[in-house]
Formats: sequence, structure tokens, C-alpha cells
Amino acid sequence: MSPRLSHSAALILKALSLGYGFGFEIMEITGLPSGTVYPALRRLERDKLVDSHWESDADAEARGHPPRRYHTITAAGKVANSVAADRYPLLSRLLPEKSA
Amino acid sequence: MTTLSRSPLVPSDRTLLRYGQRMVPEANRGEWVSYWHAELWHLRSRDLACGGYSLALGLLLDAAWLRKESWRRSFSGSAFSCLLILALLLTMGALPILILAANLKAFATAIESALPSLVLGSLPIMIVGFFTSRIPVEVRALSLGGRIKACIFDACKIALLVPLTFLLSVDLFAPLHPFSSFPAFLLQSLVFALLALTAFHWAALDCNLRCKHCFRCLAEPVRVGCPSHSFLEWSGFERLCMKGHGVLSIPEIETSSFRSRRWLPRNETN
Repeated sequence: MSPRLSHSAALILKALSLGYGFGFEIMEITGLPSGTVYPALRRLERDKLVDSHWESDADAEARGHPPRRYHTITAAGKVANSVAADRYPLLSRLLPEKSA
Repeated sequence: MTTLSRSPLVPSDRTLLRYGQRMVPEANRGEWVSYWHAELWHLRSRDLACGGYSLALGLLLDAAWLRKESWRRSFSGSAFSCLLILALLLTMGALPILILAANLKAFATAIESALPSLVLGSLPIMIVGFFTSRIPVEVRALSLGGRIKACIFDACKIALLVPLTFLLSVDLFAPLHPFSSFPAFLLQSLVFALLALTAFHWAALDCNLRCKHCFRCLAEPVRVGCPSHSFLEWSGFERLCMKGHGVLSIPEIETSSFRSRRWLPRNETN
């Protein structure tokens, strides 16, 4: 059974499902404050709805920035996201798809 | 791990990281610093003049969340939390009598007058305990030190459960004492005995479902194997210690070869 998500957690999960991958980017696109986004990401990761991985040193060096931790939505997260979409129908209209 | 002294971050961010990392548990500190170093670096590199995307609150709340989570993990299901909850319940159990009595002296008198029901109620408990108690098989397999630790934990639980159940019985029947003293006394003794036996039954079950090394609650059971028609293959459930101390193996059907549950310490499960 997928957990019952708060509106902000559902919004963050939606952003992740659209391809936004790191905390700062999610803050920008959702308009949520950092004090909401980062702890929510931790909680979602603890509940196994979100997974994370570090950018390799080589990739980060090639792009000229320090390695970042990217978050991705898991299979359980996708289920929770679809449940949240039913609960918060306006959610899908709030966020644009990430441009490549 | 990111070295803050050689970091390209502005001094205010470095200070924030330096103080924020003190909140983070040591095991997560290196990763936390690298994570926030990257986030702050990206914030500055975007050259966002507005402070709208301030990360300071997120950084501090993230550190606090990690600390809180570390406390939660180490506290939940532990023997200490079990004893603490029982002690809290004991305090709550004493409150109604204390409120009715209005002062400590009257409270002590009320408890003293209820003591005969404790003695009477203890008789059936001792009789039932004498005929039903046995040391679990998995505890018998423990070393002497392990058995002593298990005995101390059980003794602490019993030492809290006896007064707790006694106080609950007093709470229930104290209002009846002025009207019908003897029937209330008998009923209170009976209720105390029943409550205590139920509590001891729970204590025994709880003891069975704890790690024999750290006394933490074991994880949810996982089914292992398939039921065998010939009863020659093992099938049942396994409950794992979350700290990795071992596995409790519970057979689904007791057969001659797999008669009882077994505690398998980590070095034996490997």
C-alpha cells in the first residue's frame, strides 16, 4: 500500500517524475522553500519512494562543478505518484515537463 | 569528503556548513557536507541576486532531520524504550489515585490499604507461573553472559509490570471501596491477577521476538521455503535483527527434525 502523501511531498514526487533531479532544481520549479524540500526528500528516500545517486567525479569535473547527488523516483514512488495524482488532480497542471 | 578550508564557497556558506555539520550524525557527516557543498555551489554559480532561494533553512533542517532520524533508529524497538514506556505507563497508572487522594500521604494510605489484594492476587499468579513457565529453547542456547542480560531485562520488565497492573486494579476499584469493601477487595484481587497474567504473557511473547544480543524488536517475519508434503524440508519464518546480530528461525510445522524456534547468531548464519 502506498503511503498517504502530503501536498508538498506529492508535489516533490511529481517534480521528480518529470525529470527534475536535485534539491535546488525542485525548489525552483515547485516554489517550495528549502526547509520543506530537503527534509521531504530525505523522508521520501527513507520510505523508498525516491532513490539517489552521486554524479561521478569524472562527469562533474568535465562539467566544471562539484559532484551532485541526483534523486530519481522508484517504482514504489511512481505508484505513490499516481495515487497522489488522483488525490490532488491539479498537481499535474502545476509543473511543466523538464526540457532536455 | 569535501575539505571546507579549500572550498570555493563564500565564507558565509563555509561557516554555515561548518556549524551545520555538527548537528549531523558522524556516519552521515562526510556525505552531508559534500551534498550541501554542491547545492550551495550551484546556488552561487547561478548568480541569483535575490535571496529567495536561500538554502540556509533547508541545510539546518536537513541536518536536524538526520539527527532526529538517527535518534529514532537507535531508540525505537530498543530494550531501553520498552522499559521507558512501561515506566511512563506506571506513572500514568499512579495518577488517578494520586488525584483522588489529593496528597502524597493519602496516596500512600490508599496504596497500603490495597496491599492485601496484591498478596491475594499474587497467589494465582505464582501457581500459574510455576506450572507454565519455562526457559525458551533459544535462550537456553545463549552464553552465560547473554542469559544474565536476558534475565536482567526480563526482571526489569516484571518489576514494572507488577506495580503497573496492581495500580490499574486499584484505579478501577478504588471508587467502590467506600460502598462495598469486601466484594471490591475480592474483585480487585481477581482483576489484578488477570491483568498481571496477561501482562506476563505479553512479556514472554515480547522476549521471544527480540534479538538475543541487543534486545531490540526483530523485523517483520519473512516466509522462507515452501510447505513440504513429506515434512522433510524446512519451511517457516525468519525474523532478522535490524542491527545484524542474527536471525530467529521459526518453523511453520514442528517436526522431529525442526522442533522449535532457533536463534542463529550472525557468525552461524553466514
